[in-house]
Amino acid sequence: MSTEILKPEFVGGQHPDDDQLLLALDRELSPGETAEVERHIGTCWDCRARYHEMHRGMLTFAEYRNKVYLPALESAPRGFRQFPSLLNKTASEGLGAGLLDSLRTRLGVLFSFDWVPVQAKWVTATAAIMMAVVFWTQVFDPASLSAGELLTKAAQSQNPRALHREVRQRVRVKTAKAETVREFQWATGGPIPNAKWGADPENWTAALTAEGFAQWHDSLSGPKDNLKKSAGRWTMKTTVAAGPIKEASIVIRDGDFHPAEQHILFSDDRTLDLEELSFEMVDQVPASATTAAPAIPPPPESPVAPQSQEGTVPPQINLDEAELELRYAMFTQHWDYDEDLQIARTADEVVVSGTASSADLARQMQTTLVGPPGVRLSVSMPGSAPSGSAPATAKGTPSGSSIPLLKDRLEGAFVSVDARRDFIDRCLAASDSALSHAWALKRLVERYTDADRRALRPESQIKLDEMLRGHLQQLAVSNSTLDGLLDLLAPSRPPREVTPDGWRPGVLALVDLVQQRDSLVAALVAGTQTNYSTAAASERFLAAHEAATRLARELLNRPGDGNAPK
Amino acid sequence: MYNVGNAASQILSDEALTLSASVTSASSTLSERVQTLFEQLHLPVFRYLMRKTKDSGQAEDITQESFLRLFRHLKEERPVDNPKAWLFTVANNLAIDASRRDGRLQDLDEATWDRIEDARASGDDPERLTLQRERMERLRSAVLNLTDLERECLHLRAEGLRYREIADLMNVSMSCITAGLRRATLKLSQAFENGASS
Repeated sequence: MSTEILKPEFVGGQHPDDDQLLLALDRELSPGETAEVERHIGTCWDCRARYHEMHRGMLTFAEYRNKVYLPALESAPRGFRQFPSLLNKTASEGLGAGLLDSLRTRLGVLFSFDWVPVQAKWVTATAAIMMAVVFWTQVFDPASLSAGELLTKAAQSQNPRALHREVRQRVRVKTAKAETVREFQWATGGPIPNAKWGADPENWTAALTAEGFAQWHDSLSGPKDNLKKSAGRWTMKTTVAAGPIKEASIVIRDGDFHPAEQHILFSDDRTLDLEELSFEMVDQVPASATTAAPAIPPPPESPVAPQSQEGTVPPQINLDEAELELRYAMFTQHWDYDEDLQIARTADEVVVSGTASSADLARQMQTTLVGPPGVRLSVSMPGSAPSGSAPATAKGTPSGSSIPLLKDRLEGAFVSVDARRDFIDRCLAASDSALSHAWALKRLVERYTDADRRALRPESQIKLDEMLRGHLQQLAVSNSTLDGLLDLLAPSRPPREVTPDGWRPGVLALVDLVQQRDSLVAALVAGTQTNYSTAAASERFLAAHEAATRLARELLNRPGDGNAPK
Repeated sequence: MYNVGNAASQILSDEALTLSASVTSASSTLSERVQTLFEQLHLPVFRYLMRKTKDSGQAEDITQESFLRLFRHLKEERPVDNPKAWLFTVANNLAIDASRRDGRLQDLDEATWDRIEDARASGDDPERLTLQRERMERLRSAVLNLTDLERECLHLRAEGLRYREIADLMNVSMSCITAGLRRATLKLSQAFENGASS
């Protein structure tokens, strides 16, 4: 029986995502929304398990706080005994009895609301509820993903950084006059050549791509975006006041952020609907040229397998190759840096274990990663099984560092609060992404020594190089996003030189730098620490950032050194 | 309906829970109201400042000054919609100003750990002490493995701030705070699950 049949329906037939579960757990949703989530988890084991997992995390922190943090926290040296007298002194400063009485009366009235007539109270209550609804639907946005983030994820899904892959997409193109099926092709890793939109629906030549939607979106002035998530699909609708296109929407699957549909309304009211019929990525590596992603190709047999006994003894699996193929499949699906999964080897198989970040993703992994002999999947639905520990992320700030907020400079550079928050979010996301890719790099470098690499088939070596290079490139992209912070910082002395001897030590040094920088970015833009001078924090950030940027670039351009990507 | 319990009550301070009731009670002077607020909120603000300043004397001074500023603000008949969020914001700004004048370098978590170790090293059952120490070490290690942002979100949430208030205080979006808390709770849960299984 399909597990889907057993799933209770939530909103529009889907499960609440992790954020909704957390918000319900933490009583951040409205009572109605909370009740809806609770009703769902009352009947859905997967979501209940995830919910309890987050609850356990809260209890763990509460235990840390109560048993470690608070008992050791110094108390106030004077026990706040001065406060009553300080308050009295402040109260009496330049304040006559008349004003005091006036204030007392006004505040009493203000807090008691006695001055408000009954009708007005109803009006006020109604207005408050409407404001809450508007806030919930328009401002807070329960989708908890911005339009830009959604498009970025969707673009990455269609055009992964993986090299040597060719994408083949079949799209149904429908206008008021005709309906056709077209095929598009592009190579991954660069801009999609047929992404750009035209202005005539009858002569449409663009593929169904998030990149094309984003290009159009970026060309607009003052677009209005509406983002909704329903039934496991995101719908982003953009309307614009002027231009050949007045409205466009893109529908993106939630599980893998893959664009599935696109609908365009032109200024002359003509319409264009695109629906993806198939999408496949074909490996261009000669030795496995017919393998379509995302399925893992079967690993080659070991060169020492007893070939003469075919039919009687099953061929021995080359586990190194199986593992490499598994890693590569996870790489192409972006599961090798942002998911809490571990790859381990036993005597006769490669095991992927851990907990996927969502039930949908776990199911997708079961489908995509299972198949070839020698690979066993032990990926659980959220919360239901032990998983590999997350990579150790930034461990606080090194003792002796100096980290202030950039509050004043941020406020100076961004007048609007929204613009400021967008910038801060971008910085934090870029830093987080850099850290994830740095850890993915580290895992690969630690797994594959130069000797391990040489033992692989040439085409597998190419895939390994592609993974290393892919993570380095993504790290470099995150680095360039963080360049935006440089404008806010005062010029400093030249950064320290980081010139590790060899590619492998270079990657490890890069991971350290990115980790240090992540802590500094959080402190600079989000105020995680304030106790230090702006100059020193800026200098440390600049040093770490510029060294990381240079090192990433250098590693990308260093062929023939140890296990460097060739 | 499935009983989910109230996670917030596990970590939400009593002060925050009773705040709204006290603020809306009428028939008291402004001084009395601020004094009441002080009694309810001075410890959360002080603890927040301890993480910022690493100096108990300075944290105490800034805590008091924050409440005095609230008093002056109200005295001038300027509105304060959310006294708790207002106090944390003012305290944060004062801490920034103070740190620019005089910063001390110390990793609070390391120092915290040293003190708790010293405190526990006095006359307890050795076996129990060892188990406790291991547990404390695992707790500490799990929390230190979080990013600074995730850790700060947890501390502020534990002080009773709502997600929107944390976002405003840290000048980031609410989705950023939600994501940070989600990652943090899952990391802590998984770290302990692994620890328990090992």
